[in-house]
Amino acid sequence: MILTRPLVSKKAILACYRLGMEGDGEATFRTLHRKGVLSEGLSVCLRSDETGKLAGRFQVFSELNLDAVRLARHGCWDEAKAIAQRARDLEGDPATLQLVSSLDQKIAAADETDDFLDDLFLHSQTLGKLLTRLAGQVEEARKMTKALQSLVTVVAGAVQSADGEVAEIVADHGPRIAVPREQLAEQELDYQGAAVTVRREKLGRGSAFSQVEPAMVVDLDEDAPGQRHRYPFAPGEIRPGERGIATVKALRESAKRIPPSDRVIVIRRA
Amino acid sequence: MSSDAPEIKPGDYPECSQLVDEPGVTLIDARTKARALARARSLLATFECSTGLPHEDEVERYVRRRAVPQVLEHGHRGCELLLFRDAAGVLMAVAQHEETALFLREPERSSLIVVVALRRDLRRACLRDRKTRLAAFVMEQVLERSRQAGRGSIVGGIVSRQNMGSLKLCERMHLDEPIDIPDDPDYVYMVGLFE
Repeated sequence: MILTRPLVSKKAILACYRLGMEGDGEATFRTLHRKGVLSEGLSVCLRSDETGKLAGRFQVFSELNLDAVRLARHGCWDEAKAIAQRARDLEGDPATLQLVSSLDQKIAAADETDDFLDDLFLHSQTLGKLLTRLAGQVEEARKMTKALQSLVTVVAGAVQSADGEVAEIVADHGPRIAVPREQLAEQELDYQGAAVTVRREKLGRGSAFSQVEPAMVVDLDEDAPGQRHRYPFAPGEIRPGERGIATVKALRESAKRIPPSDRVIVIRRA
Repeated sequence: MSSDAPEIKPGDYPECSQLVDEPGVTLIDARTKARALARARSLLATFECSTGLPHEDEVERYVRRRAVPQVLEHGHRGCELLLFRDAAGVLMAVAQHEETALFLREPERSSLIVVVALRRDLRRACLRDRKTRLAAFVMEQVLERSRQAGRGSIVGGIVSRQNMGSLKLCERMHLDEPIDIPDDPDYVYMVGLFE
C-alpha cells in the first residue's frame, strides 16, 4: 500500500508556504509559528550504535503543517490554526512517537533532516498498521477542514507511466493524477512503479501549484514480532548431512569448476 | 560462458520469440543511500514472477518484502541485490547473493545465491544475440559478483525440488552437485566450485 509520509521537514513546509521558492526562511518560520499556524514539531536525537555519542538531532513535523501554512497563505487563519492544533495532537500521538523511535538502533547518522526522513520511512515499512492509522487520522483532519476540500488535492500512488512528457500517478484506491514527467525527474522519481505523493493546490485564475515528493510503500501483511516468515532459500547458514559433506569433498577433488564469465560486466551503483 | 554458446533458434523455445536488449544492472548494497533503497523497494513492491505455484509465490513474496531489508540486515555478509532493468528503467529481473556459513567439518565461508527471479512475462526471453537466455544472463552476472566478493570457492543456491526450471538453470551454470538439506526435504542445495 502506498501512503503519504506523515512527517515532513522544516524545509518542506517552507517550500510549500513559499510556492517552491528556496532560501533561508528562518524569519518566516518564526512568524508562522508565532501566529499559531505551525506545530512545535518533534525533536529526534540519534545516537551512534558503536560509541553511544550523539550522531544527529533533527526536527520533524506532522504533514498537516503543509496544509496549515497553505491555508494561512490563502488568509484562512482560523482554519489554519485548527489544523495546526491537529498537527500538534498527532505529533504527541503514541503512534507517531513509536514511529520515530523505531529508527533508534538502525542508523548511525544522517546529514540532513530529509536524509533522516528517508531512512525513517525506509526502515518503518513493516509498521504498516501504525502508518495506515496515522494516514487515516491525517485524512480525517483534512476532511474536517472545508477550505482544504476545495483548495488541495493529495494523491499518493505509483507512477504508472513515465515515458512521455506527462506521467500518471495512480493511487491504490482509484484516484489518478497527471504531472509533468520533468517534475518527477527532479526528485528522481520518474520511473514506473515509483511511490509518489502529489499535492496540488488551486491558486485561482486557472493556475495551480503542484509538488511531488516520495511516498512510502508499507507492508500491511507484516509478520508478528519474533515470527518472521522463514524463507528456505535464505537460511543464514547451511548444515548439510554427512553425504553432503562427502559430496563437497568429492567436488573439490574433481576438476569440475565454474569458468569465469567472458562477458564485460557493467554494474551501476544505485 | 556466453560467446561459445550455440545460437538459440525460435523453434528451440517457442516463447523465445521475445528478444530483449541486454538489461542494465544496478547494484544495491548496505552502502546505498536510503533514498535509492526506498526507490528499489517501491520497484520491487509490485514485481511479479510467480505463476501461482507455491514455491514461486514464496520467491515473489521474498522479493517484494524481504529483498531490501535483507540487504540492510545482512550488510556484514556482503549481501548485494542486483536489479536488471531495461532502457526505460522497467524492472526485468532481480538477483541477490551473500556470504553464508557452510558447516562441513568446520564452518566455511561460501557464497549463496539467495534468489534469481525473472519477471513473469520474460521467463523464456532471450537476449538479442540469440545465444543467451535472459535467465542465464542474470545467473551469470550474480555468479560473477559472488566470485568477485572473494568468499572462497564454494558457491550454491537452495532450490525447491518442484522448481524444474531453476534446477536446470543451476545445472547449465555448473551449480550441478545436488546436496540434500536434512531439515528441509523439499529443497536441495545446488553447489559448484569457482575456478
